[in-house]
Amino acid sequence: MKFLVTFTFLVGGISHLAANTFSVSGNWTLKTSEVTYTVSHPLKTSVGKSSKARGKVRCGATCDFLIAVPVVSFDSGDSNRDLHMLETTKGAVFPVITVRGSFIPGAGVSPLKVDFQIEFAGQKATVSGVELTLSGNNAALEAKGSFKLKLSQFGISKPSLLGLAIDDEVQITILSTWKIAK
Amino acid sequence: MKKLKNLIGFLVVLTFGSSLFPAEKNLTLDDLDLKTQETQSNPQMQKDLEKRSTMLQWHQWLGLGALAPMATGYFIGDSAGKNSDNRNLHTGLGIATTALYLASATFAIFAPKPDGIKDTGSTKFHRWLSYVHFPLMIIVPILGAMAKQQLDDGSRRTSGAASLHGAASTTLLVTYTLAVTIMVFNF
Repeated sequence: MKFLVTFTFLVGGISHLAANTFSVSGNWTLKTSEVTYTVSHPLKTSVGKSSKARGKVRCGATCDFLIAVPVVSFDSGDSNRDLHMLETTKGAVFPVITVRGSFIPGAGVSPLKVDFQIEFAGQKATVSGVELTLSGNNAALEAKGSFKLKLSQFGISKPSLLGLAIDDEVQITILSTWKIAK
Repeated sequence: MKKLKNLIGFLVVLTFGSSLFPAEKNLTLDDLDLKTQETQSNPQMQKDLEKRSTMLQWHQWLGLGALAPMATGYFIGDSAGKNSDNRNLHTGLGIATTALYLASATFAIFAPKPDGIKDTGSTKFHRWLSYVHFPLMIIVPILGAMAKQQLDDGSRRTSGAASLHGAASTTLLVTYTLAVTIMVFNF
């Protein structure tokens, strides 16, 4: 029995190192973040950033996470574009974008593949297999990743300039640092 | 005795289990310490934003519409000094420009804007340029009317304030074109 425990421990430890696994357990709070969207129009590309996201990870049998970003907090460097974005995404009525998901605690491999359940503009949609690159230690963690979402998934009419609409696909990038919750 | 203990233990867990070991709640927005104003729905603001977007679409199309007669009128401006037919065409284009410009400006001025929003980026420069081309859009037609009067009265060259019609028109066309372009392309 003793041998079996030792063997399991050793094999577990070696495979942990070899597979570059990253252990996540306990509860975590989002410390800093930068969420970026990139929209493409035939005449220009615009980028909006928010650093006002809040988030928590709670690990039990599974690690559940929730990230929320106020729509109004995105700044594209142009006030008129931001107000137009707020209007087309119905941001005054649905002021927060939420991202939910879950993963298995402890055995997370970087990149971690998760399904994002996104609620945006009053509609829900799932973006599957988002890859998050994790790094850090047991007290602080950095997670970054990017994915594409379609405005049509959320019933958002594409804004246009000079009669030309933007692409339906919007690139989203998330850079985040997390700290272990006290 | 052992069986009885187990039974009692089982009954205790069955009765109080859910309160002794509560199931993990799903994370909610309340867990994230968001401020009330960040999560509060504001349907009136949404209506205002929709009205604003519609009005700014009109502003955009009428503004572009004004650019065509403005540029055409500018480029036939020289010949308008020599030929009365061209002068009348130039005047007509000027009137069309003024009407389209003022209609476009009206939509921009009266479009609702949420409180506390400061102009940034291209919008800020677009507005600054309007502080130049808006007064010019009033002055240029007045100077044009004065110049037309002098030429119709038989003068070969304009004089006084009317002689500034050309220079003022150039400044108007440049600042207006810049204001339109700046909203379309990144600088």
